[in-house]
Amino acid sequence: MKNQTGPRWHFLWLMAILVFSAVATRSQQPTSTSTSTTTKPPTTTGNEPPATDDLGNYNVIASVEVGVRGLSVSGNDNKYRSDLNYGNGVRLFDSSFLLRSKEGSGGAFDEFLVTTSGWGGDPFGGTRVSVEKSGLYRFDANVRRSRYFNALTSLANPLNAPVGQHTSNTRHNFSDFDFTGLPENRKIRFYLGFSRDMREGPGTTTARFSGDEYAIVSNTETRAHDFRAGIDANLLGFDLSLLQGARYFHDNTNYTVNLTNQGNNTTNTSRIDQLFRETPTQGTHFWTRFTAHRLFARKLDFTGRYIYLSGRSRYSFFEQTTGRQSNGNLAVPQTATARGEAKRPSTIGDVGLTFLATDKFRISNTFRFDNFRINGEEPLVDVLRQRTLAGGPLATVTTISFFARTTNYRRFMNTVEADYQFNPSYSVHAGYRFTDRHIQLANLDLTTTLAADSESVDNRTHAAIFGFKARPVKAWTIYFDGEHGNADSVFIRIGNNDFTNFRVRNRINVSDKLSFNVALITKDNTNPADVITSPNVPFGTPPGALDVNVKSRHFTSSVDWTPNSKFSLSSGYTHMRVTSIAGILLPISNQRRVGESQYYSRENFFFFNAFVRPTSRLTFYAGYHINKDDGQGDRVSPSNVILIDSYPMSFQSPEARATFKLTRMLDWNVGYTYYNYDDKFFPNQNYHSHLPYASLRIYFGRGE
Amino acid sequence: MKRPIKALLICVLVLCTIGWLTYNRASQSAEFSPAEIAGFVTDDYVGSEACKDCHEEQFKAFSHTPHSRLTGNNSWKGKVTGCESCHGPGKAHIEEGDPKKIISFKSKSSKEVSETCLSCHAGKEDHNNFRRGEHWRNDVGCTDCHTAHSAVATGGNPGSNTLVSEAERRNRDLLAANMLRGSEPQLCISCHRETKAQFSRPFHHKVLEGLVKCSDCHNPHGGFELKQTRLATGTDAGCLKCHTDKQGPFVFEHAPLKVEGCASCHTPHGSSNAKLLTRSTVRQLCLECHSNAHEIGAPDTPNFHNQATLRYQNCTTCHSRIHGSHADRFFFR
Repeated sequence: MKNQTGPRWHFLWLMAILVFSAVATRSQQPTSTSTSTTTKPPTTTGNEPPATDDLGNYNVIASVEVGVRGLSVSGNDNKYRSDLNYGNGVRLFDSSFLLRSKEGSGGAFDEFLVTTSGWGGDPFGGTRVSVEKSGLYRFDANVRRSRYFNALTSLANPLNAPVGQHTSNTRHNFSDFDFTGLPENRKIRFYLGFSRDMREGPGTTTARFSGDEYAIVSNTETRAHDFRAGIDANLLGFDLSLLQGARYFHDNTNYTVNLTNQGNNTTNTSRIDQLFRETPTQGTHFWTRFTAHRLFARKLDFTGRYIYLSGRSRYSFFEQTTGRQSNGNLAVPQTATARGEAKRPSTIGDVGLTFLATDKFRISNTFRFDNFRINGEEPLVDVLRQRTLAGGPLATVTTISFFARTTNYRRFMNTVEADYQFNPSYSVHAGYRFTDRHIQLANLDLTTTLAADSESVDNRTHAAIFGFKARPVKAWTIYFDGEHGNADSVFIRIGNNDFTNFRVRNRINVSDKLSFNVALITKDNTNPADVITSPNVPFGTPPGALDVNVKSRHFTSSVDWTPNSKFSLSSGYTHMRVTSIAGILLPISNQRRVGESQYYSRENFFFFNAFVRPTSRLTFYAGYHINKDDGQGDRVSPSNVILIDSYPMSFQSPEARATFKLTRMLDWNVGYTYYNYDDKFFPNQNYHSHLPYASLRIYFGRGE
Repeated sequence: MKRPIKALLICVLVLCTIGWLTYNRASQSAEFSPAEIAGFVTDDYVGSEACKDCHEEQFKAFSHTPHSRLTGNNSWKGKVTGCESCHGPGKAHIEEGDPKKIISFKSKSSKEVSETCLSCHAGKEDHNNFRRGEHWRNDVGCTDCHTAHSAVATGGNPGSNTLVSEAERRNRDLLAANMLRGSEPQLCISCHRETKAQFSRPFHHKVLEGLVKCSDCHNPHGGFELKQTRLATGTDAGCLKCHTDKQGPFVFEHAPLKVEGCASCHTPHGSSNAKLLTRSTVRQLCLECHSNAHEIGAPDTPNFHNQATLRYQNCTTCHSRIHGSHADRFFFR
């Protein structure tokens, strides 16, 4: 599929206006820069705040970058939008505005900070506000928006079409507002908070009807409102914190078919003429969190926490389908209705103790208990009013059924660990973690018959934790830690059973100007299927045929070099590989056969970012990053029961930017970003995109 | 009662006993932080202004930090604030000019430095597990990420137009609020380098773009959760803070979500696979669990799901409500 989104006329106009305005501004203020340089010599050290402009009793440090971005995409526009979704047009790229009182204490506030990024058409935008009056209050707001687009070849695509049947083009707005009263008070503090989460927009999904599947339209609409109120107090030497929260959730998503839909199988008789489905859901979550902390005699650090959550969903389900059934009769319509609820009380209790035995030796114990119980029920009434294809009457079929589900979960976890500090350069730690879980699933299905069943899974895991930090020379620090654990069973087959993880990080700071970072992370997990839990495993399956082995290796290296204020370079290489081989049961032609699922990832990542300032008025930035996954390489499946899969692709993006400092308050920027996606298995998803941009950055309180 | 649980209880009891004994033994000396103890010996304290004469640069930077404002805070009256709250009384140091007469952190270990900070900061809910956190365990201290003296980073070099780059031109002023050494994604990435590669994959949470911060999901100061993740709405996983439609409770739960967590199917930092899945094709992910599985909840894949046909190779085409459903026990609707 080829799609071309060319630059628009207004982009060219705005680009021209920006260039003109930049040049005009530059020509109008030829001397202001030199004046400011004279009055404010650039003596700012790295530790010193930059010079500022004044606004009454406040210093102002602010900047805003506005401009236009062009866009040209060749190749698969859907994949481009699923990955990046940058558009063209006018942009408020980012801005920051800080008001800070000169004397350290202002009137209504000491500090007022607003930062924004990505507004004006970018797929993700955010605004953060922080206002503080020392000793009185602090207010933080975080408002974010994400435009989520997803239309891929590789997902939910039973017809092997250019685009799968599950797509989204939704808008997600989420915001948090938090107020703290008396934030630095040693005895008491208050919290009030509110969060809002909203997701809406069109998409497609799949519905089943009479033995076939149909791509249908979805109209997503979910909302969640969170309220929080709490208090911190110091009482009897304890730091106490109590937080009460409530979430109200609404899901009003609906699904429709308005035109006759033949379904994925166009050779059978069934079809949908009209469909409407909705499951309006109201969820409530009330929760309480209480924590207590105290340092006893400067020797024993104690933290306790208790959280209780009561979650409930009330729903009413309605689905009405008009169409033709697989037996040739018409559904006029088939209606399914249900109304019920699900509940989930949940508890977490934690106790952490650290005994500071000496200045160098500490022992900690962390204990956790958590449990939840989910109960849900669905009384379903299905009424099928039908006629023959010729319009003759048929008896209405009414089916009443009832389903109930219960999930019980209980876990104890305890971690004992100790650490010893030989000297500031060397320390070691070791510990032991024990986990005991009990999971119980139960169901009750009342259809034409009654079926009830339950099953319990217990598993215990023992894990050893160990590691050290070493600084053999001042410039070189090594962090190493590892974990080896063993479980007697797992709840899901790919869960941690017999696992060993290692992580070693090296930081080499040759000087303030040059540093290296080298790290290796390995994870090995094997799940020997010694016990055949399922009667569906074919007789005679050899031991080990259903084992699961997952290995991952991450190697990372990077260098940061900033020889002076005019040049900096940061570059790095990462190799990530995953090898997963799992024995599976593969149903083929109504027979389960023992097979293997193999997944490979061989990913190389390289990046560099360079910055150079050849003159005081001109700076260049160049960046590049590439993710290249070779996947399974030349491995091919020898039979239809061996699934070998991977996602070989490369994704790269060079970027360049030039900044011209026109005045102390104004920069003109021009830049270009290129993205190239190259997919080996789904070449129709490849795309190239070009994103040129021009912008002006306006400063207040700029130091130089 | 089973043996491991007994062993656990004994461990907890032993630790509690040690703590209780220690508490009793030390109770003759009042339980105060170093700053509070110092508050009683007022003669040795000279105030931050006295430090300014020699340490002008540090004083200037410090004067813009939240620490410096405590002096005017009523609840801190009578307590030592300013330079001497961390460096100890300065009188002898000033009179004799001897660097040894003042507390210096240059030669102290990360844990010793952190203990100084924790004497005031340990009480907050966000910080009170620092002594049991991953960073503590690996000897990463407070001042590896925060700085007590620095003000707003001068930064401001041009960088990427879409990413929060090393040059850090975005949100740099936020550094002042939390006294951080660098902008948050880059500060974390400076050690956790592999995450930069993960967040650069085609599908990723928009951390490098600035939409999400590392600390939105992780608590860098430690916590009771593994990998120091944050909780959302009480006991629920942090993912459900934003992915509210997956929270439920559902009548028909896909049990691994609640039991094992989202990461059993998704790689939260980034993936080449659609929907951040751990496998490139959905059926691999499903079949690896739904084979030799439990009888209920996770039954083996039924015989009629003929894997030789495209129809059955796309599991979520039919099982579209795979995170949970109110209306269908097979997650069809």
